[in-house]
Amino acid sequence: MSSLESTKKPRAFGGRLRNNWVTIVIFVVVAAAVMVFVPAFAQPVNLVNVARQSSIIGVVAIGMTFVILTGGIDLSVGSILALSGVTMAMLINSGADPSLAISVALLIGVAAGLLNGFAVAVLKIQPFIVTLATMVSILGISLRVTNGGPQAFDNSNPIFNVLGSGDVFGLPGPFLVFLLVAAVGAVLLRYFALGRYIYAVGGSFEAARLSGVPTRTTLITAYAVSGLTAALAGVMTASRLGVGAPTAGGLANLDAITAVVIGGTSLMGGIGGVVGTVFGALLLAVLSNLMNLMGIGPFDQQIVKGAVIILAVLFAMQATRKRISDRSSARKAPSGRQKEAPADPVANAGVPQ
Amino acid sequence: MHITKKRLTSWSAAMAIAATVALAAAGCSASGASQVAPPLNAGDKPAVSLYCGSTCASQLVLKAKPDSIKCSVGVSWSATSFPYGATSSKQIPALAKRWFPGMSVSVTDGQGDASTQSGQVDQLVAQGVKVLIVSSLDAKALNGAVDRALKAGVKVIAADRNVNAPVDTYIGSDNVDAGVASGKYIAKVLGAKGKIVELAGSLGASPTVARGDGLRKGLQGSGVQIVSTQTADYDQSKGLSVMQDLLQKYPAGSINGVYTHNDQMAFGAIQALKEAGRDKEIKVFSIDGEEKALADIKSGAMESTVGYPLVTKESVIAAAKLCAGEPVDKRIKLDSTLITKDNVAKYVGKSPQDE
Repeated sequence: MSSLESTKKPRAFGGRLRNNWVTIVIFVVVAAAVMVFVPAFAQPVNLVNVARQSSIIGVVAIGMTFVILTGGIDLSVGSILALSGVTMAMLINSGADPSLAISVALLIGVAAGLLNGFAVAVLKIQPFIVTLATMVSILGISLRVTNGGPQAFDNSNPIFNVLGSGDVFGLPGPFLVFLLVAAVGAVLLRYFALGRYIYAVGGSFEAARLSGVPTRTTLITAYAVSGLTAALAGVMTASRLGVGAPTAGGLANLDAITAVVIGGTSLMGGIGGVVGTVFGALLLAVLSNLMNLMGIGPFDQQIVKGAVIILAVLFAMQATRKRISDRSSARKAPSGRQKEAPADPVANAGVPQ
Repeated sequence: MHITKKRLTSWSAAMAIAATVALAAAGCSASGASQVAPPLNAGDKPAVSLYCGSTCASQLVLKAKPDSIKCSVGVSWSATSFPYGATSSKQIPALAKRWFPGMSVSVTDGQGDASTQSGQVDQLVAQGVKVLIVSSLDAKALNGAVDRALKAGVKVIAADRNVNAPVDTYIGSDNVDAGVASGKYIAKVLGAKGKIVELAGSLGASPTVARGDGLRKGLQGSGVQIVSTQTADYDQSKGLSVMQDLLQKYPAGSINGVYTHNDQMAFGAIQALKEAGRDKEIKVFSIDGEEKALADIKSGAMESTVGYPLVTKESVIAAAKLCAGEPVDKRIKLDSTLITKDNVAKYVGKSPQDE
């Protein structure tokens, strides 16, 4: 019932920061170490590059956070990203107005997300299988409409510049989009019924259903959000390159899931949030930038990346466990916190042991 | 409670149907805009491509009359999710239809998975194809299936990638040659003091290894140094971000060139160079010869590329020869053509990736 309890009263912002402190600490420590040992990193141009490089996966990961919080997963984001970029490019090439092309691309993402959500919530198919299937089919659609080739288009319109590469107030446009999406996501999860429903469904689906949470609508909405952010990332990628490529999605799904999990959100659902995800995405971008700056060989980079992911998740898990045991012991003895108190089994149900 | 549940279900169903319709509509409208057949500079008579030199062309002279060719041909391509595979899988049946009305072609797509492709080869053999054109993902993964095909009496053509089996012929250009051609040109342009970075393709893929080895062979004894090698997975946006990082690592004046294993990564690198204002300082050398790369060479944004040609025309002609019972050489090699601003005019509109 712990998740339901947490849905009754939104926690204060300080509480959320505490939830994500491990990721933030890792991020700050890594960034500080890097600034000392790799001087090239701290140069403003490089920092702007890293911010820009984190944006695409970051935007996808924000939507992914919604889905993972419900206890689900969305493997189709890479394919949605590609389809949206391809659609936008082809619409522009056929003479459509940029704002129309972008709107249609985003709507396609929402539509794909609704489809995922419908299959998960109403047809009760496992999210992994649903989104695996849509991942394959949607990639097929992109390949079919493009004949397998990248679609170049004219991206000189200022709107593409802002979304893709341009600077706004000295910060890269895509990074501002990322921060904006994260802010909207954080507000939705904290101050709106939808957010509380999402945590409730992820914490315990049955408990949420019995307490009158509209579980189906909640699930469908979460997948629609993920589809929308994936499509937005597709629009951003295409704007940046001036190309809508059917293969643009690549491993975006796995990168986004990694960012979410490093950010302290549990794959079991019900625990986590977008603030951690923001830092998870930044950490991934810093890591890859850093290894390139240090001249670590391409084979070794993969080994290091895997090791860092395991370590980061390990730390994030420890923090989550501690937080839950703190919370449950605080509930048992409201007057004072007994940190060594055994954890409440129900409270621990959502956490991998 | 029951009513609520029912209403929710129908609401969700309506949403899902709307979503499906929207998706389908998007697919339709988009496909309407782009239903262009791949460019195919082929006449109605069998003819090899621009990149099949005199030796190659002489190996592919068909003695039989095109109308007399009557047989079924199976095509097994490793994947169609990349332009080279997609174009090849479309061009081969189109060319066969145009040149040899009596030749029937069935195409399969291995979807990037060796065991899928292996099963498809077995299936084509079971269907009774007489000639098999196979382009494998991995030379070793497919030799079992190809061996079975050969034992069943099927003639096998290895297209673009070789297979570890005694096939009738292997048609393709050589990735090492492409790297060597590029390396020699880099040495010539940059001179002994040159320093370059290398954007490699997907790690462990055979073209990546060969294009890297070729570069080193071509540079041998020239004094040009490869200061860093990083992978960008043959991907344009990764090419862009990795190049950004490398530009940060190597400040102005410390590198003179970048060698990319394909044009897509080169496009990303060019964007990074332009954004950093260092496009005059660092020259871009690439491989593949996409139409856009030819345009970039014309405009000066790219220094050179090496054509990595399709083998569709050659494969179809070789298949016809095998159908007619004519002997075919074990190895048919297409050119690795170095394309620079001096000769680019000759190839514009006839890119090795479309021809």
